[in-house]
Amino acid sequence: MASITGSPALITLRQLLSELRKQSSTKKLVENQMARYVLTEYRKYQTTDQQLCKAADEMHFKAKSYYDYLHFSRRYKEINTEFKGKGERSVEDTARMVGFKLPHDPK
Amino acid sequence: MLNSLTKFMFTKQCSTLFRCQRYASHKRFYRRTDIIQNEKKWEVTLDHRRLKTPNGRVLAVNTEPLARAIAAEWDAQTEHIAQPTMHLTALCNTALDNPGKINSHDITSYLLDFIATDTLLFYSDEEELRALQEEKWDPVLEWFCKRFKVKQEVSKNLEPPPITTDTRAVLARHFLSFDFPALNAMCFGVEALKSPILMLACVDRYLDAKDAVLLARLEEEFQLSRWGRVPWAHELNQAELTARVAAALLVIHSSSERHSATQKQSREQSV
Repeated sequence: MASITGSPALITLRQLLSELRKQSSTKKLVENQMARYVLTEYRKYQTTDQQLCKAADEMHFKAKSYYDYLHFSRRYKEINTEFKGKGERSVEDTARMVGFKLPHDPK
Repeated sequence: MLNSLTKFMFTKQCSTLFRCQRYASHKRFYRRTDIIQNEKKWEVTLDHRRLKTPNGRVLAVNTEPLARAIAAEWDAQTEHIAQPTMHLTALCNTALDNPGKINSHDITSYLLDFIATDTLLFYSDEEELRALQEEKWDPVLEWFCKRFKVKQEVSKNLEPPPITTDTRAVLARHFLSFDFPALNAMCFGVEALKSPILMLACVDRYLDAKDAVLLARLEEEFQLSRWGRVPWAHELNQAELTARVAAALLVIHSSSERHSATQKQSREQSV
């Protein structure tokens, strides 16, 4: 992989933008500064790929790391909220679980 | 009796709730996040206030992409600010505040001592697992030996393998070539992977964060294939480790970037 315009780099770009869309507070992606910055960086390194293969690879690696960071932070939060303990059960819930009723409940 | 018990439970619950709240109750108090440049350094702003470290210093980083990534991280917070998951901010804070009062030499000697207990140097007794480890780990070890021109033995029992003084010297020089924020991030990554060798491979772009975490968790993955996967333990762990390693890599690469950027300019000028 020598060029930032090659398809692996573009796949990373697409993944990166999708992650940014998911976490951004602005409605449109165009308004997101980070997304705009990523795109200009991609454009900047598009022209130099032939002479500076290493730089292009560096940029791609960086983009990949950033994608990994965004993606796995999001996954971590998702799993955490999905499985997070909800604290103790209330007395009513516990009673219902074992089929009892509380004194003040109607029979 | 029951009543007093529930009351007691209730107050206890309240106090833990209150403690949790105090720990993570910072609500999002800003609308926009942005960055500004200040004498070669980049700072992050929340609305119009500058972001500061816990010790009250202004958070300033060396490169624009890192500042932008931190700004994006703060921008991604919804109702509450979840600081434990903001690794980039945390790494930059630690590098600036230096709560442990350590220097680059302390971190280097810590990392050098870590190598003897590197995950990659301990092969299993079990044949099946050992075959897998040889298949996956050997290329990385080979890369390590070639890259630093050293020889490294592996251990087949609990005894740590010997680390020659030669290896230590070469690696010490390599570690000390990074600046303090990068070394701090390196330490963070090594502690996540439990392996300096894997972290060095990541820094050299031989492996990416996802693969490195997979290699570090090789035994766990092997056991998982036999006993099954539990998302709230294994996947959570994997996601957290990968996020940590990727954050460390971003900080390390952005601190060495400035270095190469100046080099390139001078070459253009000479042409």
